[in-house]
Amino acid sequence: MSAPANASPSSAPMYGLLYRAEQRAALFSARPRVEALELVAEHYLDLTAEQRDELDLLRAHFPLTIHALGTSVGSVDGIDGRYAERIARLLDYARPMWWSDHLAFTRCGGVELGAFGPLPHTRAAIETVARNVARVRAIAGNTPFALENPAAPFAVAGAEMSPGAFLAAVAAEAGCGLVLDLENLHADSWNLGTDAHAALAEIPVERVVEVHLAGGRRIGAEYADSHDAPVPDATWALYEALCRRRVPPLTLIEREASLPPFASLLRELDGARAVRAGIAAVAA
Amino acid sequence: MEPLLTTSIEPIEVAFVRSGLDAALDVAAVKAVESGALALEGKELRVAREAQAGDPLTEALIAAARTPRSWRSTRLSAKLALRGVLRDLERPLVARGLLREPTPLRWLIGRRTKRGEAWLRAARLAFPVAQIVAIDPALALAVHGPRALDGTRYHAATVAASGAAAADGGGCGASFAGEGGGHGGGGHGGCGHGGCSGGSGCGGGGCGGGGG
Repeated sequence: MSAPANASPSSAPMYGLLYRAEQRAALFSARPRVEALELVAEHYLDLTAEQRDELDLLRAHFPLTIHALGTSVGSVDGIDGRYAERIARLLDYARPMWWSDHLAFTRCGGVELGAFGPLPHTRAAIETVARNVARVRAIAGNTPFALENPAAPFAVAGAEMSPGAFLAAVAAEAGCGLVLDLENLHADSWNLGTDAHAALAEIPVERVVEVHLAGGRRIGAEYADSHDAPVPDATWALYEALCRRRVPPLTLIEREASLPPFASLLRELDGARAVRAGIAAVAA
Repeated sequence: MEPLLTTSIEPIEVAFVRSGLDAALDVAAVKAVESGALALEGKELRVAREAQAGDPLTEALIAAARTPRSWRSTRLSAKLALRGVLRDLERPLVARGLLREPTPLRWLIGRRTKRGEAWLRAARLAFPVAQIVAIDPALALAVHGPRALDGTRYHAATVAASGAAAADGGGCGASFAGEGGGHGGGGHGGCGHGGCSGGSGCGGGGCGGGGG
């Protein structure tokens, strides 16, 4: 994946947040501690006058990434062309550094599932994803595209490779970047018994354009990737391990619910910066 | 769209561009109360703590408030004291393209430039009144006008003062340097402070002495 045309001119790593409109005033009060924003595509697909005004404001003051939920790159029946066209219009308007969606299927037989369906770690799945990514890119244009690892509620039988190898193979076959959600890796290790650090070691870090840090919660014996809690120590450890290999271009605190005071999010961003600074200090 | 909002947005400047010196003094007063330099008791301002004023407006307000008096009277006294330096206050805003140089027709076309209008629009969008009032009441007042402070401890004093300003022809744009008192928004812009609704209407196309 080539470097986005409108990425930070210095190419220095950026630290940002998932954008929440209800914290807009705090966000603008805290500039420049927030260096980039991730916007959920579904909030702007209609491109109403109000949405355009908001996009105008945000894109003028922050580098943006667009994070979509409904491309369904894992669907064997292909992507929804109308959805891709709406994404294309949004990308054309918002001019993000890159856009992304989840390595999953959200639609099957014309039915919207409302959840990320896990894919089997097979060659056939890789070919399906690569085909769909090529199609969506043909429609959505030249904006660089990346795939995110979602948390899997269960492992699909018939795996031909490890989770990390699957992610690496998909990115290579589809020729796209990766959005690495480390909290999802952490959740998988809890729910599926996988080794998150081993999975991380298999991921081609040069393809990682964006990292998501978040926190989930235990519900009974399971761990929900709810992204509504502070980043746990296990996820911070994964982030540090990743940064020892390569500091990602963009690190996001992706708080989706139970929004804390904005200062808490800023402290977590500073925590991510501190990881980088600590590694640099040791290296020096 | 270029980044209009610099990393440190200054509420006094925003208020000045939005509505002139009266509004800027109101914002300076709120900032001074928030910092503890001035105290607000009912509708009256008094000096609470001798402090170094960082700007001429706050300095004038503190000087005026050494004799405790109403918010409106304090502001009027400060305004008189600032007459000699008003052009100095405007100059940086003109240099940044937010205000026009004074012209004979300024009462007709307004003082804000298109950039100034866009700057205010961006500020209103970036700092929604319901969110910013709890974080920074001075910025809420600066961006959205006195009604933004409804329900806060500043409500009675600022709304009373702004109503008085509108009544005496001191509405939007009226108090820019050299601006005749009769050419204010009360007559042309149609948006004196007291006329803003919900804290979001002031500073819009119809404000600022006609909006340009």
